[in-house]
Amino acid sequence: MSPSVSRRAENESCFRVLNERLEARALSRDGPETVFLAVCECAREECRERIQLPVADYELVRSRPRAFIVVGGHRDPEIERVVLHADGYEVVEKVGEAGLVAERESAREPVQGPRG
Amino acid sequence: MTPDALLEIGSVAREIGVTPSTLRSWERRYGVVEPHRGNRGERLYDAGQIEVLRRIQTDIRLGARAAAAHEAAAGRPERQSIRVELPPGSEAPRLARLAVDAILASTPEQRFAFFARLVAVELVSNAVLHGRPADPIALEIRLDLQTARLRVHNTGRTLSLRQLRTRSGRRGWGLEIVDALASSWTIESGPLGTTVTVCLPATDAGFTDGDWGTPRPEAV
Repeated sequence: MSPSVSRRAENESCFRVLNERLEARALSRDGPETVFLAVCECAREECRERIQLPVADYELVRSRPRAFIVVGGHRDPEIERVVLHADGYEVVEKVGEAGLVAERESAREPVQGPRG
Repeated sequence: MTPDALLEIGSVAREIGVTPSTLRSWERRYGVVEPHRGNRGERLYDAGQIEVLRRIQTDIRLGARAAAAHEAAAGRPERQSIRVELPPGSEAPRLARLAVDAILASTPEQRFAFFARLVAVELVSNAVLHGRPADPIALEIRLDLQTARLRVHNTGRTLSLRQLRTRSGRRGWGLEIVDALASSWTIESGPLGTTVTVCLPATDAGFTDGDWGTPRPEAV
């Protein structure tokens, strides 16, 4: 049995928080023109695929609360639809209950110094 | 090292990354680890004592004062802990995830549990990659008041942080994730194997004292 819609949507939001942290580290290390290696923001917690993209492109996606980046073919048709095919990834938009979860979880973390 | 083997002070010091005089000083000041004595009166340490010393040194590397690290090792109770041995193969990451679930089962903070699973999987995957194929991987999770501490040990050759960070294709990127999620982490590697310890700050996830879930160790 697959996890519930809300659980899958929460997984994607967790990956998005992780990507914000990876992005912040890349920004502080290499500046705003940098390309960083994000994790796939699909619903499968076990997914370990990576997506390379410019910070600026990620910010465009991140500015939309229901939008996420996933590796091609990782879209979950029950909770999202593809709105953009990009080089090496797709941008999906959450629909229905998953969209509501995505909006609820879309607040960004306060900016922190580098970790580790 | 077999469970009943004893190591002399120089070997133990090299293993955990301190000097022999530090071990003697700790023994004198805190008395937490009292080594056995050989025929000539020399200090000899068993596997359990080395494990305690390794924990103390890890705590110090993570920022604890020596006295506090010894107090913790002497038995200050953690809120909860779990230790499992995982088979050194492709099943290990999945079992690591189950171990995290077992201890964070009823936490209301799903994001924190998600990150803990992610870190456990990365550490255990690295241990499978670098460890000796025949030996199990040890995963220990301790919940203290403000942190979850994940500790993964594998046998095998000595590793440096640089080797762990070497990126080749899809390998080596996991530590980037650990860096992003952890408040601190250490690696200790010697002839007996490699131990990586990662602290995840519960406060990041909005935890307060009393929020930890009830462990279900039978799930592993």
